[in-house]
Amino acid sequence: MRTAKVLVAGAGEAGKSTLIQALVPDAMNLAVQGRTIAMDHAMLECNGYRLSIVGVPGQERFGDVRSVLAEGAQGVVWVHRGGSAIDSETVSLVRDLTNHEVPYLVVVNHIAGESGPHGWKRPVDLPSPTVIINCDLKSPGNALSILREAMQILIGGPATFAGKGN
Amino acid sequence: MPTPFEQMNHILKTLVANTPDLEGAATVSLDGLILASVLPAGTDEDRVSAMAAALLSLGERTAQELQRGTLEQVYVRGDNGYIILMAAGPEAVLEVIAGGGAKLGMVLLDMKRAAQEVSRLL
Repeated sequence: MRTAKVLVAGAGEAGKSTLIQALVPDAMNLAVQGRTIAMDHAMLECNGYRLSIVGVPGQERFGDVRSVLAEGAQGVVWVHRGGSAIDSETVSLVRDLTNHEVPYLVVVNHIAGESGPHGWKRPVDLPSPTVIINCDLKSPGNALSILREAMQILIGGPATFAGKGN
Repeated sequence: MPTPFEQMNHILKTLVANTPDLEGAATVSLDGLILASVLPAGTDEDRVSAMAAALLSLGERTAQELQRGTLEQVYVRGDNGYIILMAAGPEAVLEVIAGGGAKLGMVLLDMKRAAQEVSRLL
């Protein structure tokens, strides 16, 4: 079975861990007081692939941890919290990866009850994402749609999978 | 009366001064923020503290996963010496860097005492 590494990146409290937990409820989340400080990790089997899903910490001071975890990523899911500013740390991380032709997709997490100007705007120095998905990550089913899109950018196919936390 | 953080700095200075081959020490909150430090000039405290918290977190989880019980220390050895992390109570981590010639038994003993003192301050 082939393996692929998918990085889940984005600013602090964007919803990265929420997405990973929605895909694999017993995924590993190394967090303190609800904030990821080391990583999230889960394995998924999907269409003959073993997907290693790695969530990186969003806070600025964890830049070194992010860089280490990003090595070898074959696809990136950028989780952006609707209504918030574009996170420069994530821009930098995604730029480094896209320079190596790693594709990325954007998930704009519209958290229910939050107001403000929603949306995500592509930074000028980044190529366009493969797709932009607008959703509320806490709503059932959205994580699976994102997985399908992630599979399409990785291998051109979606569908049946089995999850396993670590 | 010195503040708890001044006392913490004093504990770290005493630890570094009294332990042969110890080159620096810091206390870090579990979410990766620096509390006090006596680190070599030029060290980026924010980066070091974030990495320490991440290492400790990974170490704890790995110990659990492999049924090694509660984590006591994280130990990293490089060409130029050691980095050792130890919990300082439930809310902080004591991190030291030591030269390659350090006597680890002595370092760990002194760290344990310092960690207990730091823990009492928090």
